[in-house]
This record gives sequence, C-alpha cells and structure tokens, in this order.
Amino acid sequence: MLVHVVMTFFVMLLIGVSIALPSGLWVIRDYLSYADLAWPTERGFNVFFERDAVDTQIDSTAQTIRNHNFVTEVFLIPKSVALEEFLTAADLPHIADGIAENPLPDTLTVFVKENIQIAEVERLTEFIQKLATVDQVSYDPQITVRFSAIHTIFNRLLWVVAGTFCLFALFVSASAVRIAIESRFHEIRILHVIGSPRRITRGPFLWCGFMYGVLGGILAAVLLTLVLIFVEEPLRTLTASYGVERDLQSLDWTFVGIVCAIGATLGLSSALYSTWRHLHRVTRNWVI
Amino acid sequence: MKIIEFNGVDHVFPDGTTPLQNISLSIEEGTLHFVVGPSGSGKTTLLNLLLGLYQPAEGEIWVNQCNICLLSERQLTLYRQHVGTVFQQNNLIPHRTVFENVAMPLWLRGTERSEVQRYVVQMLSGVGLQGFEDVLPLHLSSGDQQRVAIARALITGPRIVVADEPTGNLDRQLSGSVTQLLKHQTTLGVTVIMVSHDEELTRYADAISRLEPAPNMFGASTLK
Repeated sequence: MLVHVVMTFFVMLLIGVSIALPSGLWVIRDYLSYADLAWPTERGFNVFFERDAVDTQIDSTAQTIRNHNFVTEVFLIPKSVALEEFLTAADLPHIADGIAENPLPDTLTVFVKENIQIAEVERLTEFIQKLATVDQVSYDPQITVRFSAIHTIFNRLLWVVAGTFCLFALFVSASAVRIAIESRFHEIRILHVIGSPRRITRGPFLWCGFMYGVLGGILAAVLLTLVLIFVEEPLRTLTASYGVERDLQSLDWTFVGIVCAIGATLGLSSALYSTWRHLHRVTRNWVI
Repeated sequence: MKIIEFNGVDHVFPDGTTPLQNISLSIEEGTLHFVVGPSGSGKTTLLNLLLGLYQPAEGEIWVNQCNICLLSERQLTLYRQHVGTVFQQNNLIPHRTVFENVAMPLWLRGTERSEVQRYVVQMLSGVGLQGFEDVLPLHLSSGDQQRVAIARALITGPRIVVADEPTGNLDRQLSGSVTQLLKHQTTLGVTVIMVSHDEELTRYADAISRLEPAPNMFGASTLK
C-alpha cells in the first residue's frame, strides 16, 4: 500500500515538474516583458533638451511628439528628478548640496507602438532632432534588433521546452496507466468475459490518468509558487530598475486553473492512448 | 430444442496451429453437456469460441438461432452478459468481497441497488454461502470460491452456463458437489456446457462430446 502511494506520488511529481518547468519559464517571460515594455530603447527613445530650455518650450515639444500617430506615450523626466535618481543610484546623495548647477538636461521618454518599422522610428527621431530646444535624441536601433531577436529565441525555446516536457509528462502518465492495467490484468479479463462494456472496463484507468494530470497540475502550481517566491527578490530588483512594480507571488486562480487543465488534458490523453493500446491487447490475445 | 450448434468449425491460432478442425456439435436446451478430452485437445478453445472470445476460421456457431460469428464487438459484449461463465481458477476478483464479485454482472446491466442486494443474498443462499457476503475470496476454500463463481454465473438468470474445468482444483467430494450444483440448474431450464478431463464426473452428464487430438501432436482435434 505504502509503495503504491509513494509510486503514485512520484508519478504526480514527475508530471508536476514537467508542467512546472515550461510554466515557470512562461511566467518569468511574462514578468520580464513588463520590464521590457518600460525600456525606452526597446520600443521608444529618449529626447534630451538643451539645458536652457524652459518649461513652455518643453511642453510644446512634448505635445508635438504626442500628436504623432504611432507615439503611444510621452513622459517627462525633469532634470531635478533625473539628478536625484542618479545620485541615489550612484549612492552619492551627500554630494547633492555640493553641486552648484544641475548638469543634467530635462528628458522626454517616448514610447511608440509595437510592430513599427525601425526606419519609421528613425524618421521620427530625425524630425524631433530638428526641433528647437532639442539637444539630442537617443535611439539605438541595434539594441532594438538584438532585443527583438533574443525575445524571439526565448519564445521559440519556450515552445520547444514546453513541447518536450509535455511529451515527457505524456510518457510518464501513459506508463503509469499501463502499469495499472497490467497489475489488474486478471480483473480486466474477468470483466471482459462476463460482458463488461469497454467504457466500463477502461473507466477507472481514464479516471486514474485524469487524476494523475490534475494532481500533477496542482503540484506544478505549488512548485511554481515556491520557485517564484525564491526568485522574487532579484526579479523585483531587476524590474524595479526599469520602473516596473509588479507582485510576482500572486499566481492568480486563472493561471492555476490553466496549469491544472493542461495537466488533466495530458493525463487523460495518455490514459486514452494507454487503454486503447493495452486493453486492446488484453481482449485480442485471449487466453483463459 | 437445440440451443447451441457448431457447424464445421475450424480454429487457427495466429501462429498457424489448428487446435480444432471441422467441429460440428449440437447441444440441447436444459441439459448438462460435457466436453471431455485430454489436455491440449482444444476443449478450452471450444468454449472460447462459444463465448465469442475467438473467431472461427471456418464454420458457424449458432446460439439460440443467432450466428454469433456475425456479431460486432459491442453485440458480443451484450451476448456475454447473457452467458454465465465459470473457470478452473482465478475466477474471482481478489480485492472485492464475495457480494461484490457476485453482484458484478448485475451492476454491468444497471440493475437497481435494492434489487442487486436481494438477488445476491438469494443467490448466495442458493449455493450455500449465506453470511459470506463481506468475506474476501482469498479467505474461502477452493470449493467455496467455485460456488461464488457459480453464483456469479447464475445471478443474471442466463439460459447458458459455460464452465471450463470448474472442478479442476477440487477434491473428488467437492467436485461432485459443484457438478451437482450445475446439474441442478438444468432442472430450471439452464443449459450447462462443462469442460472436464475427469471421466468420473460424466455420470452427471446428459450428453458427452469427446475431443480427440490427431495422432500427429500438432494436428487438430476432431469430435467423436
């Protein structure tokens, strides 16, 4: 009995790990994509003003940029705030009083829509560069290209990992159901002879596969929560550096439901395959 | 009235061996029909053909005027629900109680719970096992296990009972008692086909068919 319970737990654990790994990668990718959005060079750029630019000129320029059809948002970082942030980040707050004049300019952070061609963004930056009071526009299309490529690679690898681990979960669950069928060969044989319909004979095994999947999914959600609690602090530090505040621990019920549904689907599919494959064998190669 | 007929039945295993060849056999309703013969003569194969577990290579098997060789898998499942079966051993599901083992054919038919209770208690009483409802089969003697198997075979009131060496593991006294129990069913109109290699028991038979293997040990058995 104990051996049976331990084996069942290990099967669920293997399924849980198989689901948790790609799910975890997906959650982290999703989380980092928020930080990704906040990075101006990914889908935007910075506009640095001349140091003697006045507020009305800055507001006017910001409004001009805001009116452009593929600009989504424009944020102003006043030079006083920029200096304060810089000194805090550099751990030099004590020298603030010693600086006679703020050397930093006022800055606009401009975000553009997704899927905008680099050439179009470059045309916009050239236009802004010509505006009065604008000192410099900082836009590095190479970083955008690199990030985009890394993003694509990560996404594709995520699908490969998810596919591989789903196959692994299917294999584990199907093997567990096969073992269950073989351990109840005698009972299946009797049921077959006394006229048990196929749906009744295979019902317990389908249920078994389904439960392996659902419990594996729950285990995956628990594992995922534990891992995310473990990596929360460095991730929060990383994303906070891009100005993103997001609660990582709260895996919502929808996500847990999806993970369990994936587990249940995998478990049920493997049980369907296993019962078709092995019950078929029992009833075809008949020997009393 | 003939309830079972084998007409020129051959059976070939996937490896090419032919355990039965040109078997023709008629069984009258309400009789205890013995099929005897030495080991390897194809007695069990004959019963498996009758249960639709094997398909004959040649010939027809008629049961109650229906050619079972033409039935689909689903129809065969329904057909088996109307035939009682008893094997030599491993008849019962070990982790289920006597009650559950006997009740199983009724559950498969979707009989109501209260009726299941009534039928099973009545049937166990009929085979002399009243009070054993909650006992696991492992805790019963071989003879009592066979009685439970017979109770399960009879619980749905089948017109045909197929028994494959039901006395094979029993001593002479118990063998006689189990065979008498099956013989008693024929008075109620049940047809019992019983395979045995124990010639002694044929004294209970209404009819006997004898399977003789061919002189060549790999040859097919024929019916005498």
